Amino acid sequence: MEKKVGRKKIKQEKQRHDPDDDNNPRNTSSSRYSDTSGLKDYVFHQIIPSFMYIWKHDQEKSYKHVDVPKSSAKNNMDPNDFISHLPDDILHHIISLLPFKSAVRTSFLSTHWKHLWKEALLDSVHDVITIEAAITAITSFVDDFDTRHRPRNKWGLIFELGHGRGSLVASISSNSSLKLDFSAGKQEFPMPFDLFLKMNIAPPNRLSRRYMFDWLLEENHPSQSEQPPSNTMRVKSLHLISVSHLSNMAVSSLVPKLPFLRSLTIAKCNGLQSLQIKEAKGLRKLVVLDCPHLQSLSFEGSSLKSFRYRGNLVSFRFRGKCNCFPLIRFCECGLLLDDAMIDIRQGALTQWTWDFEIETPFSRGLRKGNHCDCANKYKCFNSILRSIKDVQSLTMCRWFYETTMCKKLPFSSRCPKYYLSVLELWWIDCSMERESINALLCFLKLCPNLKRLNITLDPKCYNLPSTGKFSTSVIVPDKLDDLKVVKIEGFANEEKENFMARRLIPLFGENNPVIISKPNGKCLKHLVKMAKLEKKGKYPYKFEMVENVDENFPDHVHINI
Amino acid sequence: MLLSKNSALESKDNEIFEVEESIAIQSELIKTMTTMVNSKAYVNERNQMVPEARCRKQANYHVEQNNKIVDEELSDWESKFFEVDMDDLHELFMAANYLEIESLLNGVTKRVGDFIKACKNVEVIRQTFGINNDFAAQQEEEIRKLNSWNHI
Repeated sequence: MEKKVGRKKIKQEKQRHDPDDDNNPRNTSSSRYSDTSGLKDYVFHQIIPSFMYIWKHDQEKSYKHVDVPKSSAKNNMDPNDFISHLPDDILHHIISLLPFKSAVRTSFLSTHWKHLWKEALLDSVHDVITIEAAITAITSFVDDFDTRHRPRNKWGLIFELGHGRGSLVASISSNSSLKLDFSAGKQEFPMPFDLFLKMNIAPPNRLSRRYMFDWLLEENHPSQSEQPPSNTMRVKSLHLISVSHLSNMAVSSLVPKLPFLRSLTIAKCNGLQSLQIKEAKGLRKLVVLDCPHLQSLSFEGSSLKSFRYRGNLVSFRFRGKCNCFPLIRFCECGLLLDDAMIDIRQGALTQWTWDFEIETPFSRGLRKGNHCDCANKYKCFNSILRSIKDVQSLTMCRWFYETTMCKKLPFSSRCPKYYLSVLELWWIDCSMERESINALLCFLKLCPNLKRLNITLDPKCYNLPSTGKFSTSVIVPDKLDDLKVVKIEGFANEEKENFMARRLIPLFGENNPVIISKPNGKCLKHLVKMAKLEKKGKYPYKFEMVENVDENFPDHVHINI
Repeated sequence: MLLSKNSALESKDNEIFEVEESIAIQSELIKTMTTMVNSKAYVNERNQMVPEARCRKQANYHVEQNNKIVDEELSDWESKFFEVDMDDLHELFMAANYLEIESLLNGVTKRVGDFIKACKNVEVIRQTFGINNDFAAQQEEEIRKLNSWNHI
């Protein structure tokens, strides 16, 4: 006989779409409850049998008593971990009390927690079956999203789209970013598609002095006349995850409806062949990550400050459009990047270009023209150098540098034409042989202001066999006055680490060399000067494990993307 | 002053608590049981076996909680009341859940929420609550990347 007649049962059997966790059946119960349930059984059967029939459950109770089920299946949860054993409803309640960021962070705790935040904070929508309708619903959700008076703690929507199209999770974060995640759908064979995004970004504040002349030339922008009420959400960044051929049209229809967009992120889109972004006047940041079939990326905008890319080296075409009145010499238009992540350790497509036209004809004088005579100016390091000239946070792969380095570029004997403004550099390579170290040191000659250097060795990185370009140019590296710390990661063994350290120490010059190594896992080792070794005449530097993680040296800003 | 009726609640380890009926009714479970038994006629009533080992401690807490009616005192007292360690919190949870006491459950939930908010990162949360990290390294990496949008 069912002993809990009338008690409200929670949806324990609800399927969570998570193909990864098939081997870890989630169960909120534990054996701890089994004995008490049994006893309850006895009590109810022996002493209060009559109650079984007349216990009514009050549907209007705001507090839902949840049935704590007996343990049936095995689970991987620690028996001391009581909080994960709590019924889902209570966990949802806890999560809904947290600020949004903390709530999303709970998904890291364990497999059991992975999807709880979504269930707690996102509205589930079942009657929407097409992606277009979902996008419309999202748009109206965003428009109605009142940042100050939200009646329920709901931060987004989950759409269960039928017909095998999976589900769409749309969530808004407190920092005005909207994320559309299509990844829960099953996409076995990604069909190729092209994503064309035409932005409709509202022009900047017209009263600001530098844009005074803007309005003379610009046509009447339709979104200007209707300013949304101040409480509503202005979506400033958009994150598109796993867009596919099914959803790309809907997504391109959404983008023009976000006039305040400042940042766009596109990640993990299987099947995406070409990405075209036009009229992105106000877009400051573009991030494209892990799109394995991407072949070309074209961007047209005027205020891009940050470009982060991870994937293959494809055909890049960036145009900075300047709409300013021609007499303005010092406008800020153009693609003056101060943050560039070029993580192309996966290698290059056969056809690739680096076509960055960052200067418009009117601004910044006449510093254009190619100083190099090499055949293909779009593959020459000179043009790459110009495009990353002002970048302060840079990620670069050695093979990219080496392959584009043209022998005709002046180096070592004469001063380079451009110096980079790089303050923190992340250098990616597959191994650190002598030649590779030479390449790095050669690159460092271009970075006199460097403060922090991160070196990562990734064995999966594309390996360009050494071309010997750098063997003659570098013997002693220049001293970097501002260099504070070098962090190295991924070295195979201590011998290689020491070898690297030896070559790096001269960079510090007079200053105390601070080199931190992270061989694998989480322990860090600092380079320490051992006085006794020095006395013995041996090489005095060694890597020692350090107890406290030094908080003064944060990681490169691109590392955790 | 009217003598309020007292109910006697017996816990699993056979300890009997006398509580005022108005307090006992805060628990939905007891309320339902009481209604069913139609116990109004009884002054001292021995209701039922409440087979929870933890109920003993909980009943004490509950009584104390409801004795403080004044609001300012209540919020102070509540914050002190819930400053207990994990094991106690767990017991409170179980008791609140079983006896269906909404205010107690809200209080404990809020406390757990505060704990989580106070933790600097996921690792600390795991240590505080003893949660076992059963992610494979790759899964963890994927989740981190998926959720990086929140922080950028």
